[in-house]
Amino acid sequence: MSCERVSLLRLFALVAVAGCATLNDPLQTPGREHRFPEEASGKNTHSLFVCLTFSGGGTRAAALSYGVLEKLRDTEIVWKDETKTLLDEVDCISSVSGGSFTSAYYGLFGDRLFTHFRSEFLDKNVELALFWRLLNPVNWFRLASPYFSRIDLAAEYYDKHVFDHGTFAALAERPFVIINATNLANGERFSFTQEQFDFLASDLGSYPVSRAVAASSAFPFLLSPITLKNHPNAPDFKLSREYEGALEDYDLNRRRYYWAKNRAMYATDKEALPWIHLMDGGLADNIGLRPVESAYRRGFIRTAMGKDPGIEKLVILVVNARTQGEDKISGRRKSPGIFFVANATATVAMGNYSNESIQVMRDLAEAREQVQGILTDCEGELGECSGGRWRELASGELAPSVIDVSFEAISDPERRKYFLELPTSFKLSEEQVAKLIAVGPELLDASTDFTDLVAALRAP
Amino acid sequence: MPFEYLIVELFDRDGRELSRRVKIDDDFLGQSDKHFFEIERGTHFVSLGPPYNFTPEERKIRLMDTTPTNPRMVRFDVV
Repeated sequence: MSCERVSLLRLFALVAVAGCATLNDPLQTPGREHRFPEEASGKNTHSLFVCLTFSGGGTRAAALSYGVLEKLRDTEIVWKDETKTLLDEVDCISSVSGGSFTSAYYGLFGDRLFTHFRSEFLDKNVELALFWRLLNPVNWFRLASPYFSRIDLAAEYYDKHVFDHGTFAALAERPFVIINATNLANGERFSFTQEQFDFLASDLGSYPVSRAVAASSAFPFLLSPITLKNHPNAPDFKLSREYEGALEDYDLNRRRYYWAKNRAMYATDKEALPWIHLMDGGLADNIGLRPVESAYRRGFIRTAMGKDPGIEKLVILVVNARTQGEDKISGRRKSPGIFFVANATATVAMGNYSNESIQVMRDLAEAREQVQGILTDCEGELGECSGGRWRELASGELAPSVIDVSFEAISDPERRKYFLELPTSFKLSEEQVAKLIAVGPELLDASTDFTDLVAALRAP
Repeated sequence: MPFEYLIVELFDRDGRELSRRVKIDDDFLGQSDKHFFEIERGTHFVSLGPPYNFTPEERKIRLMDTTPTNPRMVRFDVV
């Protein structure tokens, strides 16, 4: 074999090794797992249960959700005779795409969010930084590998410059952060929780938060998917009772059936699904509300309602950075071109049904209040009819509250237009970032749902 | 209604009702003599907490067509 050929072979071997993205590890000996914690701790209580959802929308979404967190930090309440902030009582944050940068940073670093996040991420031209990485010739060799792509470059940048190499094991127990992506194969939501990773027989604790955020924000066409490996099941793996029952519910409860099928399939259909390719969470749910709805119907919120004491006040706060760009095609007879259609195909679906999702959550909250009202009204009669066997509904008088923050609530038309036309990108000006940070608190102060909640939490 | 309703009872040999934690699927969601339960329509596994001196060990139910004022009743007995 000639020297030239040997050198080329060595070079290809080097490229093959250098151009390999980080994969998820198989399940290890149990350590701290990223699951919703059973007990509250510190100033947080179960009885006031607060879940936030942060939508997608690039830096626009990250800045809006950052401003909302500042507002919650600055909102003093009194709960169970203890003075604290509303931020102290946040139990979970479910996020998508741009919103995942804020949630993940807060989960890893806590209050450092308020001193460092703006300079480390919000005010940075992240797009330019990623572009320079793309232009670096060293990365051309890595990108030549079929196992390393643009999203891996982005994840490396986030890992070094935003998340300080943090893994899921380093995330705080509360708030419980749920970062959401979309399985490109079937369009279903994929949440980065140990419960989801159990089906992949994989350890989430050792997985870099940066890669989950990269998957959550992998915008179609511009970025490529993040790939996960579906490891073989442990010999003692068994589906839980919830999944076992739900998989029999095709005729009885289609929603519950598909929730179980789309998660358990990673464990029950290993041969067909050895790899999972994940993209922007906005493709499945651009406001991150679906995991919270699921937790309410059958997950950790429902379990918390069954504890003693259970949840007395349930607050769901949706931070929606959705925009409405100028309609450039409806005024013309000529059909839009292929590039416009491609972009629209990738983006129009995001944000579809967000308003419907919020209304579903409001309907669930109202239905609960209705049931509680019926039981209170009928309590006397029911007690007599059942021979004294009547009981109270588990988690008794739950007071649910669904609050949503969106640019559409801005009353001034010019200001509303300004925010609704902000671009979806990772490079906003400092002025744009400052305005986004400021508008979140304004929107909360203008929301009667929020002001009523705070008034109730400050009442003697 | 988005949810269904369930009462779980445990009786001793003299027909007196006892108090026990109620397990539905994988989680304990309340107390048998104190609560009734609001859970999703569908197939569920109902059992009780320790001591494990009751029969049957578990009941598999298809929960549907209930209302808050007309819940499904599930019974266990001490052996």
